[in-house]
Amino acid sequence: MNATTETLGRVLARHQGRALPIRSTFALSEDPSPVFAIAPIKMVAEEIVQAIAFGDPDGPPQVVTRWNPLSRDAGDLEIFAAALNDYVEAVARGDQLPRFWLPHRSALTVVELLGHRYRTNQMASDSLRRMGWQCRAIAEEATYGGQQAVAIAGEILRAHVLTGQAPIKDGHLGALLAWVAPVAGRDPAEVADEQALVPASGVLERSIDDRVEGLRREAKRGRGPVAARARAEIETRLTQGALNEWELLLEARRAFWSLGLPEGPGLGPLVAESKRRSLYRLQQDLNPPSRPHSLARLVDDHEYAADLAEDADVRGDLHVRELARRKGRALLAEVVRVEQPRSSRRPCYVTLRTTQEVLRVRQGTALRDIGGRVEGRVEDVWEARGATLLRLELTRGVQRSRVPVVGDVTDWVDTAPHDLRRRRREVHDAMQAAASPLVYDQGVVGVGTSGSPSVDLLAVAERLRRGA
Amino acid sequence: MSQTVTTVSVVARDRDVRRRVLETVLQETHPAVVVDSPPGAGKTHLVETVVATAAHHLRMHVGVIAPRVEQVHDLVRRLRQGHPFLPVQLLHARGRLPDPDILADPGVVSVDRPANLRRGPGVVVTTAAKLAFSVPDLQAGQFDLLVCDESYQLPWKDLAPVLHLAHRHLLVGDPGQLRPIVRGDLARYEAARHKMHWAAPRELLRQNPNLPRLQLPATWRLPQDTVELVQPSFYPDLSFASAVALADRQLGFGAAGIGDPVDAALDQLAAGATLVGLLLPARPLEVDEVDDEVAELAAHVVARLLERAATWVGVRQLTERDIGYVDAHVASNARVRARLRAAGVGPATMTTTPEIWQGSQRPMMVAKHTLSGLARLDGFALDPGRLCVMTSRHQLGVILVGRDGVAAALERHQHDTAERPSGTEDAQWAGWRAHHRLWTALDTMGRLIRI
Repeated sequence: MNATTETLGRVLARHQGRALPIRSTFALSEDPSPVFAIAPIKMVAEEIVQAIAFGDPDGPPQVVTRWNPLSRDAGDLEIFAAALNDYVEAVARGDQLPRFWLPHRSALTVVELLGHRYRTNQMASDSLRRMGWQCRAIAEEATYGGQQAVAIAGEILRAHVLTGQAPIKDGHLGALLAWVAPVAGRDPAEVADEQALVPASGVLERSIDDRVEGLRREAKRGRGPVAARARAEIETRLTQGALNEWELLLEARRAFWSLGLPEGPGLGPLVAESKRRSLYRLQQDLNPPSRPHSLARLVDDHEYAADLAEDADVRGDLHVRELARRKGRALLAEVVRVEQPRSSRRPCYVTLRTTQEVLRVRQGTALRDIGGRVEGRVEDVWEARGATLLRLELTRGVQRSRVPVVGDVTDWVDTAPHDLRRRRREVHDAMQAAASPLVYDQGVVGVGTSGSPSVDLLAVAERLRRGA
Repeated sequence: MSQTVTTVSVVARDRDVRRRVLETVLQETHPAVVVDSPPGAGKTHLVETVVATAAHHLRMHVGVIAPRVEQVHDLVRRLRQGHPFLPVQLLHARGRLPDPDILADPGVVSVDRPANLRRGPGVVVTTAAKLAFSVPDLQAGQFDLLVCDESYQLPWKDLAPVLHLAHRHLLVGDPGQLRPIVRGDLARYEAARHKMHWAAPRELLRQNPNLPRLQLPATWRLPQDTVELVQPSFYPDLSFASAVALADRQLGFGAAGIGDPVDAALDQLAAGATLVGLLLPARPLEVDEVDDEVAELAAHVVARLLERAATWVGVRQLTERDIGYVDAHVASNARVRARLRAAGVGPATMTTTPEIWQGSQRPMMVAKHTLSGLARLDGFALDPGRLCVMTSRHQLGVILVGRDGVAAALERHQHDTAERPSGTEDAQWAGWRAHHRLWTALDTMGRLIRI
């Protein structure tokens, strides 16, 4: 969507007093059962967690609080670690997609830092180290295009709606919700401004945070009932803070599903991929890839995930497809000629005619029809009578029942993800086994001469070019 | 010193470097050699030379790879044309047969299975991807020499898996052009020990800084006037000069103009300037908004070139095929295409993006400046490779069309360094400096004509 369309959309949303959907389908699959929600509260500017509300969002949350989060003793996180692991074991047993709901990106950062702090921490218990790798797995999964395991409420909402306020205000989950689930009889802009006065980034309100800091000093200094009272009040205030974040998360989740869009028809492969990746990582402590073959594999995985996500979006969502058309990534075309000398056999050429102005096709571009029945490679592109013609050689779907017929009008898209990972794995295994020094060592250097330096190779080359 | 003497010395230096490349690759024992090449330096010619010498004179089994199928087909044609005696095998994907002229060439053996490759002196040409997928079926040291053309277009992850297939490697490429495209959220790997998403020669040299790195010193495409603008902006680490004589790069017109700013720009080109800006008044555009007026202007410039019978003096009168248009945006290209048709200019005038223009040239180019109409500059617009490609496709001259206000936008730009992991390259900042330098030079030289 370009800036003009977005601005117009925001004006319209302002006029209608509610957020407007910008997709025709959900980009997130239906919540599996069970789901695990995490709403942390961190210390301001410290990125250290001091409270977490967590659990099944359809039930009451558990809350852990840490009256002294800077302490080396992290035993208070054991309850969270156990609950997280119970959840992971449950979804693994059922071979299900895990689904973690978090309110906003700040919460994911806190989860990721929990992973970094505890995964390899020798001072921590086994269960906390396991929590560390599981948290890292959650953060890692969130980086994949089209992933379905980590739902960050603020971001997923922003991917589905436009509000009637400035984009920067959408960054506050409370302000965003004022538009997605407007309060009857109130101007959502006013509600959003009120909401924006309350933090929605996993921190306590300023006055409460100051109070907790003061109490913390008392709790550390004092002994006996004074310290105990201070600790108790800290716990109460942290619990309340975590529950507020929890409520915000639940409201965002409800608001999201209340958009009532149908599920994107292309989400199946994304769910399968996300499940495979996240279950694998949640169940074992994997070192971050650092060797060339594993990093290469990782980059390939990200590319494939991005391709799959784009393909699912363009195929499954009319609004996204329309945007793709404007960028030339999808084109509406009529089949004007089919050449297939032998029925159901290759070669099979299909000529398409389109009057679409913006096209991103050239010789070699792979195109698939929107139904995914046939796929081909552009062999030639030319213009005739105000239209563009494309000659495709079909590479898939040459059976008689699938080949399009003259007169068919359909969308063609250039997203054609191919799962080449098995072969890539063999390639990377071979790469690892061969361990070329140029790739695996550093500072490789060669010296000396191996041939006959007295021969002027340029003169030889010039004679060769002349065919001597 | 006269221009002729300068050109002669550039040509001599170019020969010396080419000789040095042959020696370093074929007579010394370096495991890899990187050759940086300016635009139009004859990279493919160098690749042909090395390959033919290795395969024919030294009886080597040589592998040659390039990132794209079209580049591979072009390499095969060039090899066959220059060295018809050379046995060439083309390894291609099963679903993508070679072009008909290659299939019909009896000197080219096309195979889709690596097991069917013949060993012995000769050359195997294929894409990097096909060779990588063939790795499990090939042996370490399969080739005596592996040559990678257009290597800066290839990410390290796509070259690293094939390096064990040879003992010696030659990577040739243009370091100033667009970086390889790698999709996905890769920011977190920017600080990794191995930067698999970086351009292959960059990462190879970062890991192995003692490997020989040679630089071709001459461009056979660009006139010296362009070199003096493009080299300092986009190739601060690669010194080069034009190897073509001024007299061989003259633009003339068969008809006088009507004296408007378009003619003023064309007349500057005829007077020896080779890079000129033609600017409409500043007007900020929305992101992705197609600038109709600039599209109209671009089409107008192309049409005027043809109307005035633009001529490559001493060579030929330019036709639609001799003029190209480059624009970073597909939608904007489409609009220019439509305007060209309305102006009676046919499809022979290629209009496309810098990504596709890489590796191609035309006598005359019209390019839309990547910062035209932008109030806020982003990484895409500032990418130095994009503008570098756009200003280095021509043999005679290029007219940059766009909107005024580029200098102001560059001054206003607040560069954000906060999100860049330490120890990584800052392409956006390099882009800002390149843009700033080029624009300032054009302005200072009076090359910006305002409408």
